[in-house]
Amino acid sequence: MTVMEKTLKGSLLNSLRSKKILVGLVIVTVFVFTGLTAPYIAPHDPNKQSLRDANLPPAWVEGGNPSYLMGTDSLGRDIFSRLLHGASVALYVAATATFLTGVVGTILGIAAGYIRGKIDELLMRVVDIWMSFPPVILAIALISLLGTGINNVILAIAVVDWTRFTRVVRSEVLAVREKDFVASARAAGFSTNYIIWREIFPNILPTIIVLATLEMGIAVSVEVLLSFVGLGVKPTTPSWGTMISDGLSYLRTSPTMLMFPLLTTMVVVLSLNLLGDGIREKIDPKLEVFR
Amino acid sequence: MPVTTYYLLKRVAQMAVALLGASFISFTLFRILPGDPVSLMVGPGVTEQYIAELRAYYRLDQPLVLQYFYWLIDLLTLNLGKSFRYGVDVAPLILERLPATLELVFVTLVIGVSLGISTGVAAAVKRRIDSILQSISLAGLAIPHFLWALILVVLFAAILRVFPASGRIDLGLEIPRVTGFYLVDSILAGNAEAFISSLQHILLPSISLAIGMMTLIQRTLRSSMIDVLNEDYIFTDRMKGHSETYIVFVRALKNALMPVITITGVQFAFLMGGSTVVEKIFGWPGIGNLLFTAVQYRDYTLVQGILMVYALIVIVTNFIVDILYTYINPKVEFK
Repeated sequence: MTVMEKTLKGSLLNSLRSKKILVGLVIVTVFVFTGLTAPYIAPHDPNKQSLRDANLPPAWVEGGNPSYLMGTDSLGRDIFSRLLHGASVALYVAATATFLTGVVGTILGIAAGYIRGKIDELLMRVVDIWMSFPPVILAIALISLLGTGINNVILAIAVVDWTRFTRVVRSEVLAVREKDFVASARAAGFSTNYIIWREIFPNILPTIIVLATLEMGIAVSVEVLLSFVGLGVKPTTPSWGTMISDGLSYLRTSPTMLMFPLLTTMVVVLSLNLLGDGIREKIDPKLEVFR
Repeated sequence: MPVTTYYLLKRVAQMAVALLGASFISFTLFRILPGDPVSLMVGPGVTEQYIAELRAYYRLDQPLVLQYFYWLIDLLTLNLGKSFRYGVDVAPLILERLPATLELVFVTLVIGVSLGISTGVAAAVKRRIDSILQSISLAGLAIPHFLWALILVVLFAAILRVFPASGRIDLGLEIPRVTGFYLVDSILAGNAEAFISSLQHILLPSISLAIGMMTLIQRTLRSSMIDVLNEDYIFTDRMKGHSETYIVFVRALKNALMPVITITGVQFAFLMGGSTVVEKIFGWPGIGNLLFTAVQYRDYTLVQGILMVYALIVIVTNFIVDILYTYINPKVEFK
């Protein structure tokens, strides 16, 4: 085992000692696993309606049907299966939106921070103006133009949120580029490309990981929010947001319809934040990532 | 010219640039996308001539630069265009709903700032309280406004039934409109029943919006307070025999509040964004609710108008926060 591998192994084991990381990691793993395997593990078709079985309470409550673990909604669809499929939707949006946002935001952040000058000034102006639009409102306006659907939700998240990466990455790059090893690489005549990807990027990678983890939490809540107000995924796609909005109409008669997707969303969003915040504490307690 | 006047002018100019940028973005957003707004707004069976007239009316037949220029002049004269759906001017439509939103945001600020400051001070001074707050504060930051709103609706409106689930005031209660703020208008009218009713209605939506802000202020104040309490002048105050209450709340708090002012300004945009969905959940008749109606009916002039109003509120608030910060903090140099 090389020294590098030893350090890496040590720091991985060490990070599991953080309660935040441990709890976050366990729940996020369950979320990712469920999202990937939902079609195989869901006991029912999430869209199969059966009015005869409508509004059933959870299986452990009197009157529940053991075949429907968490009961059924007003159209007789299995809530548990819909929750599992909803995890697929949330995971897909979170992963792709975070990837897109992260790549665009990081490249712009590196450009601003390393090249400086006019590009930096222009980008920071745009970031300032961008951030004067409340993010949720910008996303809603974008969806009103693009139309609903899962891919437009992803696009809207990326268009709204790239500034989060750009701002933080830029300030990290500004700090790293003044370090001696960058100066010596420059003196040794390495190309700008080499310096950026081999010297600077590895040093800002931990920050990007923190931002990405938190961004996944944001993406999940934005998808749920947009689907909740009817501007997200198509009504036939099982999303936690549409489940919550369906459940709100039956709040008095069958509160479980609302409670299960609501609690699931909260737990997933919270654990992504726990994980992100835990890693942040490990790498740099002073890093400002919460806006 | 005195330094402060110069500084103020510079800030005003910066604000104008920000507004110009915001107007540019919200204009381009609605123009670069494929599809002609007119073809989206008219139904089937409309004559070509009518479409041409509509295009001329909305100046869609002119070059983009000119369109933007006209739109900008319209903005300055508060002429936001006609709503496709309602057929009336957008500006009065928004102005009528604006007080409801502003009232909600204002009550949110009062709750968020006062609770944030008191818990922040408590966390900085008392270890026990600190450890409790630390463990729950992440939830306050991570969980978005609309989820809090749903939790509060379920808990207090559906299960406990102690607060109303929607609206601004009980049906049947009427108060003359003076300011548009129900809490103020009911006092002006001397109507205690209306005041209590509007207070009950505003509590749940404003608390769901205030939780995030409260947590952020609490966390920020806690760390800046701990820093300030370790400074020499506090030590001197203790030597002089000032009471601990005086030292914490007067001497230390004044300096520790500086980062809190900045963070409140930054947080404000998120609060405005969150307020839209919270308005929808609570059936609050503000511009957030109007935005959803506008989006639903593809009423682009209205959407664009509301977008600009939100940007205006955020930019002006940040301007005020900036000025406030500069005047309160003696360390800032006017540059």
